[in-house]
Amino acid sequence: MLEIKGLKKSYDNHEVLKGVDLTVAPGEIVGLIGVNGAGKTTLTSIVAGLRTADEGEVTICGVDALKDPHASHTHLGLASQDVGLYPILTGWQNLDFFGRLVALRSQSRKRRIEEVADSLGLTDFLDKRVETLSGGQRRRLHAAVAMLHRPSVLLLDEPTVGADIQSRQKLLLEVRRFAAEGSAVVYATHYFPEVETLGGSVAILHEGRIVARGDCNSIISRYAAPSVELAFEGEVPTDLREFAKLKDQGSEDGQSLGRVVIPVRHPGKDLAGIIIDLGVEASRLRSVEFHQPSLETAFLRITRLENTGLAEEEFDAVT
Amino acid sequence: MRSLNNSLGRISAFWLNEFRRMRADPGQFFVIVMLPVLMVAALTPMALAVLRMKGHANANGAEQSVPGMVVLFSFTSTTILGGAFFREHLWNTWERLRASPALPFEIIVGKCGPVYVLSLCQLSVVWFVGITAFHLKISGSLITIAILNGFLSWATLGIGMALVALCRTIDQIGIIGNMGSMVLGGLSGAFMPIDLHSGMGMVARCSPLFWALSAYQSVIFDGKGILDNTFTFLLLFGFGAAGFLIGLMRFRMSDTKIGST
Repeated sequence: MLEIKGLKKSYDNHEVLKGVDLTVAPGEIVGLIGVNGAGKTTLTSIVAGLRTADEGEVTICGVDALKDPHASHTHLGLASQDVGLYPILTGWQNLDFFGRLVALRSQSRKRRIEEVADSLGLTDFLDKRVETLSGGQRRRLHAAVAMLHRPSVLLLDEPTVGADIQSRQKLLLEVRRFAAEGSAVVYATHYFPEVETLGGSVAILHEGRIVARGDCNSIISRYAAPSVELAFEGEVPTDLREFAKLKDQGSEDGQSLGRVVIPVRHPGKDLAGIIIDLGVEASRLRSVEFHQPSLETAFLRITRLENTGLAEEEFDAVT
Repeated sequence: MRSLNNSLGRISAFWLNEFRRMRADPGQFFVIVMLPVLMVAALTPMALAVLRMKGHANANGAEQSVPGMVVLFSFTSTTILGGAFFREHLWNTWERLRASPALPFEIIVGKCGPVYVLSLCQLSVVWFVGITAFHLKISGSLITIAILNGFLSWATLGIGMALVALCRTIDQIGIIGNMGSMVLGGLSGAFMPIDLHSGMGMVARCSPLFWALSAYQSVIFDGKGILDNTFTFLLLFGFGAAGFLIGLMRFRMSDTKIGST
């Protein structure tokens, strides 16, 4: 349904996309994750026809989106990073206009507006001007516009930025339902828990390339390790800080309560070892938390692997 | 056939959307109608003196002030058209339009159409107020005036489209539109008859406002008709067409425009 092959894009001399390959099947949700500047927005913009590519192919439902972007737009729904709505018009007028643009006929347009408004909790706000809506309501309306015509490919670029928890949940639920109806969804974000909640697959975009692709759980189980978070009264003991630094996977904010996160293989056994090694410093220990492996830790490990350029075994041996 | 239907459907969607935007912000229409009417009221006594001096013994001043303000304020459609395009960038809806099935020409026609209608309404209201409230007597037919209105709006819209394509910020188009209105209108004789300006006549001939004003006054004073003004119609059409041609040649959907001041 969405097929991207060897996509390259440079701005001046900076190569943002270095040959991206990505296929998204009908009904699949792909969490496109990467740090700021990884190229997520550039990638979604090229797919949506907002930017040109230097090289590569983008096919949407069999249509060459780079050669014939307008033909591909019929199959595409886009909710870009910035909310794009007419503030002086009502929510209903916004949906009605964009519904007309995608040739939804009168009755089906009205029905779809009611459906998406209902599923995203917007029904009560449809008659209000967008400028009077809250940030979360605008975000949901912004996404509703993209979903209105049931596009075969839905691109959501950071759709929950600035949205409240309620809006976020409604949106995620609707995205899942949308995919279940057969659409291919690309969900670009750097909120890892959202991708885990969506339960789809993951594509990690790092320095212009997809460096990991697969089912969310399999990525986590393959790359992520559990960790323990220790909080100390005062600063984190030097040895432990060094250890965490040596592992290059710890963090601490080192104020009145110093914290450090340490990846472990066998939480209980490894924690016991750490406490013994701490000696008298263990008396300053105030709390211990176990963290399950997550997409975030998997992401950190994958990107570090990429940065070092080492094979997995070599990387593990070094760290 | 289906693609034509879809295209017409999208254009009508743009029309509807633009009219909804205008209705949501009616102040704009009142301003563009009220300002020329107020200016007519302010300038009519001076125009009366000038016209009497020129030998129009029965003139009441409205013969100069009404068509003068019509041509002067017809230029506001350039800034309104600019707003119609540039605010899409401010509201981030431009990317939405670009990612929609709408073709560039559909967007242009969809945006220009309502502004053209608005401009016609503006000119018509000023004429109506001129005739009813300022007792403007027109020797010729109102149909000729109406046709001239149509061509004048077309000409200013074409210039507006060229400005949309050439300007980068809404401020630029606003300043050019407003200053252009004053300078071109002034040179064309909107404030006082053109033959009182020494040496400016040739410059004024480069402005569509001059030709429109001359034609309006030929209808008002001399009762000239449609055939008598054919040359002016063609000239105004040419100004508009040239503007649209420049606009279409330079207009890029991917251009970044600044929609806020």
